[in-house]
This record gives sequence, C-alpha cells and structure tokens, in this order.
Amino acid sequence: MEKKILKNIVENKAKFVPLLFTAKQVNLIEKYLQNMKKGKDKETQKMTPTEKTILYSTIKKKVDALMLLKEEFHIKGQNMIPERVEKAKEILKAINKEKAFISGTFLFAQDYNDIDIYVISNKRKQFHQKEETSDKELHFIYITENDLKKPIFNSASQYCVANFFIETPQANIEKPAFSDLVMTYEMAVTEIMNSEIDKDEDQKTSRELIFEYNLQVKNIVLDSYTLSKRFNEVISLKMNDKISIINMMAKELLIKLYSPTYLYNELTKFVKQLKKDIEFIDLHDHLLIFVEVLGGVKDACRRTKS
Amino acid sequence: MHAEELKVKLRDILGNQIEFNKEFDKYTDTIKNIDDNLIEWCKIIKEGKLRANRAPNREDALVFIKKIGSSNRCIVIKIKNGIFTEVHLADHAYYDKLRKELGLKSDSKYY
Repeated sequence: MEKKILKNIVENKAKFVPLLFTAKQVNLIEKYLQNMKKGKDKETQKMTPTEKTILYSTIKKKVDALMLLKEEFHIKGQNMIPERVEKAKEILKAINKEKAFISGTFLFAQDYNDIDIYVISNKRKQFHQKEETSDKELHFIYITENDLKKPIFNSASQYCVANFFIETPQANIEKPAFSDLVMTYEMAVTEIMNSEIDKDEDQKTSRELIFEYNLQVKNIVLDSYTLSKRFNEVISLKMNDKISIINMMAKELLIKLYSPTYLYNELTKFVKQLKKDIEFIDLHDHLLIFVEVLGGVKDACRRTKS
Repeated sequence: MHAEELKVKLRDILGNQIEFNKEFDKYTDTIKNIDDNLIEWCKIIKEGKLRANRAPNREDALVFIKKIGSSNRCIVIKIKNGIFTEVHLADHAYYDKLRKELGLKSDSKYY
C-alpha cells in the first residue's frame, strides 16, 4: 500500500473519520506505518493476525480506490508524442502501482514494439502482457529502488512518464568483462553485415555497443531517447561506414578499459582462435574484420608495452 | 501451418538430424506467419549467405539468430564445418537463457 496516502489519512484523520474510515481502521493504519518504519521503537507492537486481515481486506480496498484519484505525473525528457504521454498516464492509472514509470520508444517513436513499464518493487521480475486495445504488448519490469543506479534503468528513468518524482541517482558504472565486450562487438558487426541480406535484422546489438561506449569512454549515461537517436544515426549509414564506427568504438573501449599487458595477452589468444576458425567457416568476411581490428589493438599494446 | 508440417519443411532444408526445442510446437501455433518467415530464413542460412556468431561456450558450434517480433526468437545451431543440429523457437526469456548457455550473453550486470 502506498505509504504517502496512508500517512495523509493518519495526518488528516478528522477528514476521513467516520465517512471513509472508522477510527479503529485509522489506528490500524497508524500501527501499520509504525511497523513499516526501519529501526522501529521497541515499544511498537506487532500487528495481530486479525488486524492484518482487516488491513489487507477492508482497508487495502479503500486505499486502492483512493489511489485511483491520484493524478500526479512527472515527465522527464523532450520530444515525446503528446498522445503517447496521455496513453502512458492512462496505463499508469490503470495499473495502480505506488511507484511506476513508462519509458522507451513508445514515448517518442511512431513505430514501437512494446510498452516498457517499470514498477518499483521489493522483488525483481518481468513479464509480457497483451495490451487490450492493440496488438502490442505491455512489458512489465519490476525493479528495486536501488536498481535505478544500474546504467540501463538509470537511462530509462532519465526519459519517462512517472507517477512519482524520480530523483535519478548517480549510475554505478562497472567495467564489462573482456569476453562480454568482444562478444558484443562481434555480434554488432555480424548483424550489420547480415542486415544486407536479412531485411528483418534490426542490428540492435550496435545499440548496446553505443550505450557502453558513451558510458565507459564518455562517462555519459545516454537516456533512452538520445540512445535511440544515436543508434538510428549509425544504422542509417552505409554498411562500411557503420562498421567503421563500431570498429572505432570497440577499439576505444578496449584501450580505455584494460591495461596493455592484459589486452595483449587476451587478444593474442583471441586472434589465434579467430584465425583457426576462419579455416573452418566458409563465410568468414566478418572474422577477417575482427582479426584486422583486434590484431591492430594487440599490436598497439605490444608497442606500448615495449 | 501446423508445427509438424513446419518441422518436416525445416528438416527438408537443414537435414533430418536436426532437433527442435520442447516449446517449438507451442510457438509455431502462436506466432503469426511464422512458417514463411522461418522457412525463407533457413533457406538463406543453408545457402551459406548469412554470417554465423561463434559461441564462446561451445567452441564447435556456430549460431544463427532470427528475431521474430519484439519478444520471440529462433536460434539455429550448426557444427563448424558440419551439419545443422538444433532449432530453437521460443520467447525472449528462453532466448536469453540459451544465449547465456552458449556464451553469447553475459550474466547481466544490469539486471
């Protein structure tokens, strides 16, 4: 139950009793709030099972109904489609969660796949639900308050329609594992090259690399709108230009994140494996690019070392 | 197209040895126009026109990924310099799990 509403009821007891709540119910809410407090007093009595039953049946229903009247929205970011903002507000009202926000392409792009709904909760989970009025899906992502420090959620919270004031915290920037970064790079280039044949290929791994590049090299957490804009700028280029940008980002990321000695050792093994794979894979033009780019970084590391 | 019929067509293209994941039938029935999309794509990979991803956790394997809509995915696995072995069709959660197994996705530091 939303703490803010419960506090309001207790603080304005005279206005709610006896029309909306009984005095006993307000006392129970007060007790519930005391029990919720971190480091509560030793004198605070625990709620009895009967009290809990009353709280979660009668009182919760009334509080949920009151929450429907709450019309407070916070909009962060520019260039949103006005109708989508209104729709986002409607969705937030309908799902009736204490703290939730909607972010992603739904807010700014004509074409979107699904609607990302973030719910602040104690437990993490995610699931898809069919939207009643269209063929789109609602993508529910339950995260903890602390998860807003993670770059991906930090990015989403910087561009959103929320039913609460989001004070976006400083993002925790972690160094990715060498193998993960190289894998992302490989997939990004492979997708770009395959997109020339497979028109359904959306080249979305490039977006991950663009995000990581800005995060690690430029120290910027791109919000979802800016990220989408940068991604669209890159994928609208010709194939060779796209690959050049991705190569440049991968090189800069590797050099920025790892020491020359570590990089030299890892890349020596990696390039050796790539050359071995080339012998067994018929269509290997993408692997030749990796050998050239990663081999180049390896050589630069050797020169730095010496 | 019924799941069994689609499997026969895919076996014709990729070979009789291919195995399908358990959920394949269920997703064949729920994804719109899956048959045409998938058959055409499998023909292209069989012709060797698409580049494969290498799988860090399975050094002998090559992985082809097809995105279907926002949340469904098809993964075809081929042995390097050899035959096609697996076809997986499922939702995003299954796809993420399989990619982790293949070493194509890290245990996300984000989530």
